[in-house]
Amino acid sequence: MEEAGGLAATWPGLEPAHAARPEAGRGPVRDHESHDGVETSPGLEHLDDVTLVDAVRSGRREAFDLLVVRHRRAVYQVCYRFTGNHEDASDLSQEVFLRAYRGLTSFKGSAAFATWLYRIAVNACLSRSAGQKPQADVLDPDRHVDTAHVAADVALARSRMAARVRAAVAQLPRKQRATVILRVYHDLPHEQIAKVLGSSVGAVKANFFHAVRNLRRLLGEAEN
Amino acid sequence: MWARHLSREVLLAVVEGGGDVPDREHVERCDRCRRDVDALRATLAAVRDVEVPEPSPLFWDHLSARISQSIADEEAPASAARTVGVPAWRSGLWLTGVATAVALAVMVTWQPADRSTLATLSVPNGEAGWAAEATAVEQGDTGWEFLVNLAVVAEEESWGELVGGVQPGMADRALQALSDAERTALIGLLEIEMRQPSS
Ligand SMILES: [Zn+2]
Repeated sequence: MEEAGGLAATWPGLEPAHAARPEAGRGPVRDHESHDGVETSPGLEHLDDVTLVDAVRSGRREAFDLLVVRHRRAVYQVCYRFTGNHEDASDLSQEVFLRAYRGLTSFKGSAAFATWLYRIAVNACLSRSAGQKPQADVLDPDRHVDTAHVAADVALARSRMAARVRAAVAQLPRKQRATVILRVYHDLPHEQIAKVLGSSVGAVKANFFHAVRNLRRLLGEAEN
Repeated sequence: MWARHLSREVLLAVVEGGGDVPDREHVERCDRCRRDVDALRATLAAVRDVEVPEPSPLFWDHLSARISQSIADEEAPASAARTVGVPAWRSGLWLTGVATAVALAVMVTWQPADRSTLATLSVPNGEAGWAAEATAVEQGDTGWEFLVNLAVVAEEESWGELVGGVQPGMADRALQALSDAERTALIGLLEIEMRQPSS
């Protein structure tokens, strides 16, 4: 189990309260490695997302670089969850930020920037995946696991299970898939998911319930 | 026997660790609801257990750089000229600008000391002539190179400066530096650009 791993994928600044005050309290989960190699203007780092957006709008492009640094990991992880491979996930991540940059004028600031970005990411992923089956990275467990190792069997079983889960998630209808990804892997509250997907909270809960039921069925089938 | 089992919304709440006390008590005592909750929990746990492989540590800055570059490319199509190649460069708005600037410089400031240079600047007759010249230029002769250099300078120094900074003798010097082939190429391009409808 790695709740920590799964939940650490939580979007930075997800809850509006934290989004508004990223430096307050536990603050958003930031890219740990994010600041090396990235030239950001001094003085911008402690600005919250909305202020950075304003800075970009007033011509400070470097403020957008900082927004990218803050959110790139979460965007990438959403994209990876949808596509199942690094190549597509990184291409899509780039596309998501480009779309966000283009659409920055339409960001109202009433929702957290992260929520808005989630929405762009999910839309990009869904429209990309509409016509194609996810091409999962080939992770041949027999090749990647050192069979001489004591833990090999455990690792093998785990790796196979992961492949089955990915395949099952990929088979879900679009909204169910999006809901599972946002809820399970990014720990978004149902209300937040409703905003991202533009549905009601009731619809999100129903989708989630059906999604988990479907996954249970799909994983059961895969077992047999 | 239970008159009513838990609704799916309540089941979900219990599965996710919420739910009211009476609902949780129901789950404890009702086999059917407990089985549902256990199965849903197990499924969720299995799903949650799948990690995204961590990319190389270098990946994140690489991604940032790619994003930054794609934005820069989009905002300044002219900057793509140096790497993308001739067609993008030629279709760029600023080529018209450069051509106009050079033409302006020629018209405003050029005082040819030697009228014979005009001969080399004479315009070939007819469409076929221009087409041939343009083709020759596109295939990469030195005239084209000259224009590309000029364009890069214009891009870096900005337009207003180029036009506003026209000095007497400047165009003269520029034109003196050209070979015959370069002059012909320049004229051909100017003509082509000036005949294009402005966008
Ligand atoms: Zn019951």
